[in-house]
Amino acid sequence: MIGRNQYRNRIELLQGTLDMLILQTLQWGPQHGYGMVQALRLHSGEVLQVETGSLYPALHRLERQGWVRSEWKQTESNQRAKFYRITTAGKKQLASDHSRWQQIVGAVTAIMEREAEGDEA
Amino acid sequence: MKLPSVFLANRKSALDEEIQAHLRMSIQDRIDRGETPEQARTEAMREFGNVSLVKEVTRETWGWLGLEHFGQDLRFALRQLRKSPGFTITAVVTLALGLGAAAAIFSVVDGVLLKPLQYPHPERILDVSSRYQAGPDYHVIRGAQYRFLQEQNNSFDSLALYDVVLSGVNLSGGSEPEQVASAFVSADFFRVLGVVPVIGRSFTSEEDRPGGACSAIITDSLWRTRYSGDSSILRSPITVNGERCSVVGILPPSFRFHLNAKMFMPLRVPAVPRDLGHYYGLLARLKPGVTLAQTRAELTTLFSQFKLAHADLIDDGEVGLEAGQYQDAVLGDVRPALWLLFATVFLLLLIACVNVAHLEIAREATRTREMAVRAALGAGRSRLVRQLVTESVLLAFAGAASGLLLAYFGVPLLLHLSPSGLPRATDISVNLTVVVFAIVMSALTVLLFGVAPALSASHVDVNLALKAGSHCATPQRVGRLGRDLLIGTEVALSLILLTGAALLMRSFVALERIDPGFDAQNVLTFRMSIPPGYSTTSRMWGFEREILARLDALPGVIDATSATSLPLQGGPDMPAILLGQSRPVTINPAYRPISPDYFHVFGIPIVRGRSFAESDDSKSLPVAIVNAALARQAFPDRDPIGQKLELGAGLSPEYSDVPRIIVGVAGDVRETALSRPAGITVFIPRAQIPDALTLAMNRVLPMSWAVHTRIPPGQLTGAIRRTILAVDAEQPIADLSTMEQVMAEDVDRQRFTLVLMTVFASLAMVMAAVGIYGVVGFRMRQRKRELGIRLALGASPGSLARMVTLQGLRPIAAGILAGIVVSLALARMIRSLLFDTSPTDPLSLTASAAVLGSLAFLSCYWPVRRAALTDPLQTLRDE
Repeated sequence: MIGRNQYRNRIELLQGTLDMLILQTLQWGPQHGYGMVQALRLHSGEVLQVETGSLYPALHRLERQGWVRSEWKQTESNQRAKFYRITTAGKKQLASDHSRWQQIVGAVTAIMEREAEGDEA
Repeated sequence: MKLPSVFLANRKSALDEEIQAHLRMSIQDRIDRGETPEQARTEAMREFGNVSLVKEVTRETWGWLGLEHFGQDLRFALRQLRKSPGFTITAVVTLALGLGAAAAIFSVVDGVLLKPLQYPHPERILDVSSRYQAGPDYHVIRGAQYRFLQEQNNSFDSLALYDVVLSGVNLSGGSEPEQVASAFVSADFFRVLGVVPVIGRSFTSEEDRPGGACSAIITDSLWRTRYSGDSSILRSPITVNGERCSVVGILPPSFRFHLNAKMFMPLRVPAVPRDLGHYYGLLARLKPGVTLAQTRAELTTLFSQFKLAHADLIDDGEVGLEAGQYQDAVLGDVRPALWLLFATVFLLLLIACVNVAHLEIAREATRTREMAVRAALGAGRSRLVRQLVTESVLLAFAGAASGLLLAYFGVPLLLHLSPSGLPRATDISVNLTVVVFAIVMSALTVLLFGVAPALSASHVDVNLALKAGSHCATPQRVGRLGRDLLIGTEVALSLILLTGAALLMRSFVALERIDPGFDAQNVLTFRMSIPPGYSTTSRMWGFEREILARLDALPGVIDATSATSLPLQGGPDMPAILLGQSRPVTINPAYRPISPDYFHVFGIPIVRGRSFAESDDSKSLPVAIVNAALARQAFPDRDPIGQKLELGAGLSPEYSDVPRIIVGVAGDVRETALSRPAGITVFIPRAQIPDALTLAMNRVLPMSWAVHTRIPPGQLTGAIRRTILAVDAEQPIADLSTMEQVMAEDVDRQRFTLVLMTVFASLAMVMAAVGIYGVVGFRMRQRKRELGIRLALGASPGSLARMVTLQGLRPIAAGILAGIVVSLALARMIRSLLFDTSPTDPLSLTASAAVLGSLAFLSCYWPVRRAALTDPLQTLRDE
């Protein structure tokens, strides 16, 4: 029960962000769930460890919203896995998520640096 | 439901495969990095987390999950309920009793009080009657006012006058003669009700005129039973009271009229009625758009105009005209009793719910471990709550279904028990409204007993519950206070019901103890409708004397009497003037023409003077006997014997009587009902009734007979029928019953309420006892260890039992106190149903509290004693 609530919280916190990260990962080509976890960890310099309890619900939700599409394919190591592919709608969504993200980062940065200036003074 | 589940199965296995693929890839990577397969497997699993939880969280995004969960919950709930049959059966039976009683009584309440009358726009049908300054509302009016309203009003579409007492008519010809309840109604009667005969037509105004052709409209049931549903009846005349009459219409099967008449005939009120008799009911249909308030205002104006024009046709104390919904007038005074019963079953249902709540709480506590295990395995709180609620819903539905079944069989039983005078009894059935009611009630029950315990049960602290083990120290979910509150509520509710039952019981005993003023033993009574052929008193009395002589001659008969009406039956009253006073005094006594043996048949004492004799006939001195009440009121300081009075004062001349001399004073008799003290009464010999009154009374009232027997009166019914037919082969008799039955019927309504109330109160008490027993027993199991240690440390079983019982008694005592307070507060509700008993009667309250208190004490003490006597070693070893 505790675990479940943690997932919930994390999903809420990362809701927009995780969706954006997944869509961004899929920009580089179709990928399965495990691959996405690996890719996100690798590209974040081992900082982001996405929980499966957040990832799979997010994937299924994105599919429901029509931003990704899935199909079963063979991996390079000849495993059968479910690959996700970004759709045109997904690309649009990613663009808007990205610009919003930049806005937020800009805004947060502005606040934080102002604080820093204040500290110096 | 099939489609989504197939669809779901596919998706579920796809999700499984997706996750398995994830794990395989993760394991492979780790092995590639040099970990051992076992290590890789463990690590991959650890990294992935709770597989089933991830699956569930993912599945929740699909949207079909609610349905899937519902199916699972349902299956699981069924399994759980089957696993504890004791709990399930107790809960379902409790609910079934509560809901069954509620649904059955609601059927009655709905049929009698709530359902609108079965006429088009029933709300536009009004009952219009004379209003008096004081005295009960009889809902009657005079012919003159009817004609006046008919000419002057602007509010009504149509008006209809009818006789409020069914006179009954004799049908002869064809099969055996039969007395049929018939109503005399004016021409517009069916127009006011909005009913059209299915075959034939309504009355014409020609038929409704004095001297009009004899015509009749009959109900579907009479048509089918007596005339075998043959529509040729409309062409061949029938014989009514020895007169040829044509049936002009047959009513639809659904037709109902509150007087339960089977036949309707024109009333034939003269265009200008001059008589003072007010024995008519008046129904009026409002024009569309006219409100009740407007009508009342108009009636006020019309009454003053009428008073100006016809001061002689207004009584002293008559102050206006009253108008109200016909439905309200029909229901009369059954409302308080029905609402009381309704409140009773509602309380009973509440008790049932509280009991089931007890059961649930006790069970939930033992299930804490199960809940903890399921929570540990990843069940979310909302899921656990849903699971518990599903179980409750299932229980409630099982309870509702069994309850409805109970109501289905209970309603006919109720109708069998119901008082003969219950209005609209034919409208009662277990119908859709009742089903909806039961479902709504069961849904409320679920909220009450399902959700509350579920909420608390879901606050499981996994670690604590798992560590605690199955036996002891299950954390108290619904706290002690909550359970005490439930017990207190249950005791209080039961006490309220018990007190109500006790009050009704006291009142009923008081009614039964009343001395009615006559002896009902070995008296057989019956009635007959006298056809208009007996148009003079001498012809009528000749007929009566002949029958009386033959009845007297029957073996087993002591004597017999004929009377306009018998004790407890009510009857006409008559204005009278006391003569020879300093100034004339007007009184309005009950008017009872009787044959000479009347007082002897009923064992009514003549306290002064003499009784009537055969010699008091039309040629002898006009005489009267008054009852003691009249003697006390009219002649407080004089001997009533020899005083004179004149009956019929102020009535039209043909009804006026000669001055009569009072020859005797009879003991007081309850003339209208056991619960009504004797009023003032005047008796005269039937041989001396004015001719016009004989004719008028025969038209309005059936006449009554009573036979005093030496043998059980039931054995004489056949002989009596044969005797009457021997005198007049066309004369049927009706309402054959012993005077003891008449007395029993008089308190029918009180008995009905009492029986039901007693049944419900007993059920409530049993439920409360079971509830207390269950809760205390549960608490004992919880405290087993503590009690065991206390015993082991040397506490005596007796002192231990005392201590625990005292703790258990606290909520019971509080409940009794609360029950007393609420009972006193509700006393007003029951007042109108009580006879000679104060609604705050201390004896009823104390007795109920004592009975309930002792029962509660026993149900509390028993499990405690058992717990205290358990070998402490045994208890501690069990841990």
